[in-house]
Amino acid sequence: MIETSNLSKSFGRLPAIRDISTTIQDGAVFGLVGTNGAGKSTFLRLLCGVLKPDKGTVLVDGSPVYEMPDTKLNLFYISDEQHFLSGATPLETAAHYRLFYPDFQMERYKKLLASFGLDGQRRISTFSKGMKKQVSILCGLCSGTKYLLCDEAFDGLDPVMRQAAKSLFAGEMAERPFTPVIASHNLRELEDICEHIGLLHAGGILLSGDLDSMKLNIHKLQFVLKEDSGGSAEKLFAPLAVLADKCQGRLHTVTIRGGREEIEARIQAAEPLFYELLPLTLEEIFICETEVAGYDIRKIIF
Amino acid sequence: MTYGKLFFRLLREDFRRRAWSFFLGLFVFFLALPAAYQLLYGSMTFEAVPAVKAARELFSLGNSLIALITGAASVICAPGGFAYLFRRSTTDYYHSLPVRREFLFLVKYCCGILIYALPFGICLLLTLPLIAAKGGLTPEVLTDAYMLFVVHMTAYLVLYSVALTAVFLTGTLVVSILMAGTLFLYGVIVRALRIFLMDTFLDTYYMAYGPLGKTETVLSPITYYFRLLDHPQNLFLGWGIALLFSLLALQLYRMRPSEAAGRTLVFPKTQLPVKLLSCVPASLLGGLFFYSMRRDIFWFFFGLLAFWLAACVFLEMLFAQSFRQGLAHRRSSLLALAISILLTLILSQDLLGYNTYLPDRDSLASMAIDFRELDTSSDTYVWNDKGYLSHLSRTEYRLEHMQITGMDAAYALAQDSARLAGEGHGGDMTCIVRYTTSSGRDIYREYPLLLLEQEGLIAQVYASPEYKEGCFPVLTDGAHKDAYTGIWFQDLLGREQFLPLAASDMDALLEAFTADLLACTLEDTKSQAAGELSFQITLGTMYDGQAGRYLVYDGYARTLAKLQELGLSTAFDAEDVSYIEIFHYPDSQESEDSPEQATSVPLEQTYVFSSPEEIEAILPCLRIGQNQWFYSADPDFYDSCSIDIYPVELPEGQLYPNYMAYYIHVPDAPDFLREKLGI
Repeated sequence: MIETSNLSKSFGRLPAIRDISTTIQDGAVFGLVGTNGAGKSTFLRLLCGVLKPDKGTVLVDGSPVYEMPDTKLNLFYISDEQHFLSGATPLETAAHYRLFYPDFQMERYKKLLASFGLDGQRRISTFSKGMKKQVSILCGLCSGTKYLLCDEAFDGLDPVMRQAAKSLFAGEMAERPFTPVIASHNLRELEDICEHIGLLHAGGILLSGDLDSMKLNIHKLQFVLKEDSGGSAEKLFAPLAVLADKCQGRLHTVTIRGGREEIEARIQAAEPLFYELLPLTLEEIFICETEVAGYDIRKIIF
Repeated sequence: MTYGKLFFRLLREDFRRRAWSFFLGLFVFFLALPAAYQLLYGSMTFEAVPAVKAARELFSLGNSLIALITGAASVICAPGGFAYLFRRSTTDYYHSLPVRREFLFLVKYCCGILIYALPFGICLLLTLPLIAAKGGLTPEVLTDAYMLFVVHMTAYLVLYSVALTAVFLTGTLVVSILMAGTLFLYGVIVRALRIFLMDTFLDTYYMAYGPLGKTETVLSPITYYFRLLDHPQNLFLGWGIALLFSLLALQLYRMRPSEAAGRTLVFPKTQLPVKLLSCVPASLLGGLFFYSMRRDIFWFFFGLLAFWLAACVFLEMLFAQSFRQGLAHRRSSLLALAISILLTLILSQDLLGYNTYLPDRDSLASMAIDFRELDTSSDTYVWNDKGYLSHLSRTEYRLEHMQITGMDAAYALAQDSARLAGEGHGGDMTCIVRYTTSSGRDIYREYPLLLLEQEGLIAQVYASPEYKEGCFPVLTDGAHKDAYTGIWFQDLLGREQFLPLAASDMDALLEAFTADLLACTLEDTKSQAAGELSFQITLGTMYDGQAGRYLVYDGYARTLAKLQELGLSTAFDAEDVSYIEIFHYPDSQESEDSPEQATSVPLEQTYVFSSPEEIEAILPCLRIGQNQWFYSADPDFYDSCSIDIYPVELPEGQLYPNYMAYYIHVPDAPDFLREKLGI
């Protein structure tokens, strides 16, 4: 488990991360989302011990990480600006990593290279951006570390490779203790892989939680009442919190925080002419949650 | 994997990555050692043992090519090994790996040393069989080769560790090289600047050791390198310096934040000191530059302002890596300007009382005084470490060798001259004084002298044996008496005589001459000299020659008697002279001062005196020109003329008359000469 407590980091006078306290549970894919400049990369660099926090702590399985090689043995960091040794091939790169990560699985790495169609003897500098990403991800997977910290990992990957990488993550998690932490500015990219999400904005975490429970606790409902009394949705669903309320003629579309049964019980009590529970996208959930927090998510994410 | 194993694997890996610099080193050292040996050997066929001579020359510590390679290698290898710190992506890569920074440092540090040491060692070893094949591999050559490697390796460690410190202070490659250059040379530049400023503004400042001063005392790895080449026994100091800077570099690396990659300076707190330490000297340098063209304080301040502005703007742009930030941090810029102006005022107005400063009499162990215009032909020499004669300037000799401990007269003279300096008096001439304190510190001043006012004190100093021993090497050179094998004498008429002497004769002559020299008074220096005496030094080497050049005054009875006893002719009379030619050029000031003279004496005129009566009358007033400038303020002497004496006959072996400078002792001059010259 990775825990941060009041984690802060500034670059000169510019605060990059402010008082972030969060927990990344083991065995689940953690998605870190935010716009460019939100602090995602800084957060990941703090997690992997590249940066020293100005304030607060980072604990990986209870141990500090900065300048702690034993802790770092559990972490593999893939930077958004990847670096490969000059003139190195994928095999040489792996050999270099193997010096530092004793559990590096070289045979598996070679097989994966072949299955991804990457030439192990070719210089990485001649690879495309996407191919370089693949090499990095494969190195990360084969390093045998418990945590894989990926900054914009799927940026540059084509949809097929993205799916392949996702299934590799899933397979890895099924086989051994493995926790990928993936930072991205693209919410849609994370939706179908992450189980936990943290939304980072202006150096702070706006929202963090389990994606399923988020989906179970928030619903979108469309309905038409027999006689529109002119009362607000707040009254109809009280004491449940109505996060959004749109009305077009007699058709109401509301987003409500609460359990499905409770919501359905309240709408049925009002004897509607029609009602329907609609599926919510991750974007919509975030819009609602962050609007409640006082932010206009459309300005933050999209 | 154990740390030991990991170390060697990483070292091998890093060495492989930096193989280009290893091969470059191999190529350069190949040219500088085996190839250079072949070249040297080919050019030394005239030597008795060219193989040894060429090898010893190649392996001598004075081989500047090796020093040049060493300096360049340190500037390449230091940033080369830690170049990953200059980019975010590479920094993230290395700092995310599960290894401590200290370990990474050790690997890269050792690799940087190997990249220099291996090509150097390999090429050195390749040269040895080459020398052996030509029959030149002697134990001395092997020792030289060993010393060459050890000394340059030590110097490399010093330069490399200092360059590493620069790398860890900076965030980009270009700035790190600039910083390394600055750390290498800053001490020397600031020392030179201080010396030039003091020489410009302080009347009594004396540039004792040239514009760079005593460079070995400057905190600079370059000056240490030069010193090490001269004194290889300083190896331990080098290892100490290298260790100190290596530890400093390591500490800086430990403190270095990863986000500093790409910044100009890694630690923001160093910005202000760097700015002040750069802008203040730059401003003063600008002031000096303009002042040297027009010696006007206005131009000094103009240059100061111009260079201050340029330096501040440049540094701010460099710090921020933005042209727009050139005028940022105005307060620190103004502080740099204020310090520059303050330093200028302190120097130009002598606010610290430098010119009038006089060390406490009780704190002094000894003094030295160089009357610069007195005994000017006297040749000064020392014996160097190799046992050869080495000539050096009069002033340098006197200031280094004179130890006046009976300081009453010398101190009183210095005190009086300091008073003159404080009053802004330029004096007729100057003297340089060295005060040596009991703690061994040397303080130098160049004071004005007023001959007529201070003649009494000067005479007292001149009469002191300690002064003479510090002036004339022959008085203290008893240890090398065996090398004195003959004398050279040139009489007043310019006639040369050379006489080889047996040891006993030389001893007797030296005894007589040193006694006369020690007894010589300032008044004696006004008298006529029979001629000039030099000694032949014979060592059986290319350094054989004449040393010393002393006036033998008419009062040197013992010396003159001994010279005559040895068969040397020191006497002369009018019959020996064919004619005397005097070219008179009264300076315009004299003519303006005495209008009568201006009308009666032509501006320039040559007079020839050939009658025995005229020659006989003129000869007694002529003085050999060694002390002509010293007595230029004395109305008894006149020197606005050029005098040539043409002897009737030259001694055997001398083809042409020697040019000698003369001046005139007015009281001894005949009336007809006084009339012609208007004196």
